[in-house]
Amino acid sequence: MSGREKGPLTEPMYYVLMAFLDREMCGTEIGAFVERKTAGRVRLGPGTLYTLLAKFQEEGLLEETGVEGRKRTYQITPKGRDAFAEELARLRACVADGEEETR
Amino acid sequence: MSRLTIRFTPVNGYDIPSLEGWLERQAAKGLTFALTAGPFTIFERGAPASLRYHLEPAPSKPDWTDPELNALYEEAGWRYLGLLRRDFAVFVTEDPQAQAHTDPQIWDHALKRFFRRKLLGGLGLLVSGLLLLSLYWQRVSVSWYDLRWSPIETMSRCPLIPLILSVLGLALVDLSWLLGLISLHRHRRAVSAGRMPPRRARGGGLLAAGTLLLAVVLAETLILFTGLSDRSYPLEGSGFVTLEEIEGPDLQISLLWPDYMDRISHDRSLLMPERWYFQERAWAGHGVPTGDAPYLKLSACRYLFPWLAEERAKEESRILWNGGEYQPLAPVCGLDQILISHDTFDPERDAYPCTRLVLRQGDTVLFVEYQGEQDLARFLPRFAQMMEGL
Repeated sequence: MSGREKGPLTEPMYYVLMAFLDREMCGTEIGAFVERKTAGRVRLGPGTLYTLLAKFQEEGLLEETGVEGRKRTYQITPKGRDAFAEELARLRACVADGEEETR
Repeated sequence: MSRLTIRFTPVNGYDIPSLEGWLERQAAKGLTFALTAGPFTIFERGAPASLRYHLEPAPSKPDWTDPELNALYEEAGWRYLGLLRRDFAVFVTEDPQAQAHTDPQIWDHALKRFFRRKLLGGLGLLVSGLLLLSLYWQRVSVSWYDLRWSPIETMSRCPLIPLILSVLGLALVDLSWLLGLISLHRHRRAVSAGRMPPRRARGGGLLAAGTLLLAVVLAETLILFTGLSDRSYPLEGSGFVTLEEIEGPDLQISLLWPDYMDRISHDRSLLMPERWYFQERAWAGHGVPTGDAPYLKLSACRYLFPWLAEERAKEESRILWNGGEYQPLAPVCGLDQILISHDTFDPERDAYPCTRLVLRQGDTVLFVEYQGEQDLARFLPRFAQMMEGL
C-alpha cells in the first residue's frame, strides 16, 4: 500500500513521523524528540508542528488517541508507517546514488 | 488613565506580514495587542518593547480555544494574546530569532487552507449580499423615469439612500476582501520562493469605510423596524392648519377612516428626510360620495440642505395637476418660495375647485392640497406660522 501520494516528505515531516514509530506521543513531546534526534539541526516551529499534526490526521498518517488537559496524544497509522518507510527507502536510494558517484 | 487604548487598523485584515509588522511597531510604542473590534484594534498600554508577533491562521472549523495550539506555542516560548477578527490567533515572543513556521511547505499548506476558506466564505457573503440587495431593490421599486424627473421626491419617498449606502458599503467590504485574498496569494508565493513578503501599512481603510456605511444602514433599519422613527403627535396644540379653520366652525368633519386624523403623522430617521402628514375631509352626508366634500391634505418635508428643499419645490412645480399649472407668488410672511396652482374646474364633474400650494421656508417644503371654495392664499400667514412651528 502506498503511504503518501503527495511527493517526498520534508525534513520536519519526516522527523515528526519518525517520532511516532515506537510509541504514542503528544504534540509537546515531539519538539523535544526532534531536537534530541537531530542535535538541534532540524527546528520545528510550533505553527509548523500544529499544522503538520492536523495535516497528517487529514491524510490518515496519524490518529488521535486521547486528550489530557491541553495535550492531545497521537499514534502512527499503518498508512503513516508506509509513508515513513517509503521516504526512508527514497533517502537510502539518494544516499546510495551519491556515494556511488563519489567513490 | 485607562490601560486600554483603541487604534484604527490601517492594514488589510488578510495581509499577515503587514499586520505583524504594524503590531510590532505598536509594541515599540508601548502598545500590546489585546483584541479587535471591527476595523479597530484595542491595545494594552505598557512599556515600549521589542516584540515579535506571529498570526496563526484559523484551522478549518476553528476551535479558537484549542488548548493544543496554545500549549505548543507556549512550549516554544510564545505567549498567546488573543484573536484578531476571528481569523488569526495572535502570539508574541521577546525572542527576535523565534520562528513559528520552520517548514515553508507546511506554512504554505496552512495559508492555502486559510485562503480557500476565506474565498468560499467571501463568495457566500457576496451572493447573500446580492440576494438581499435584489430583494431590497424590489421593495424600493423606483423607475429611471422617477429618478430623472423627481430625484429628490423619489429619495424622500423610497429608502433609496439606505440602498445606495448598502451597495457602496458591501462593495467596499468586498473589495477589501478581494485585495486581502490577493495579498494572501502574494504572501504564499513569497513563502514558496523563500522571499521575505513585503510589509505595507494600507488596505484597512476600505473595510473601515464599508463597515461604517453598513453600520449606518443597520442603525437606520433598526430605527425603522423598531418604530423609533414614528414621532406622531396629537393634532390639538400642533399648530397645524385644519379644514375647520379654512371652512369655518360650522363644518362637520368626517369621522371615517382615512378622512379623519386626530394625530399628526411625523417620521424622523437617520437617512430619510423628516416628514409630516395630515389630512381631513368634511362629512358629505349620507349617500353622498366622499369625494364631493371639502378636503385638506398637508404634507411637509425637511431636508438636510435648503438647496434640496428648493429642488424639491421645483420638481413639484413641474407637475401639471388636472390642468392646473403652478404660478409663483411674491414671497411673504418669511416664506422663501410660494407656488400656487388651480385645477381646471368643471362644475358638472367637480363638486369643488381644487387648489394646491407649494411653500418653502429654508430647508422645509410644505405641500397643501385643498378642495373647497375658500381662497387658500388668504391663509399664507397661517401656513408660514405652522411651518415655523415644525
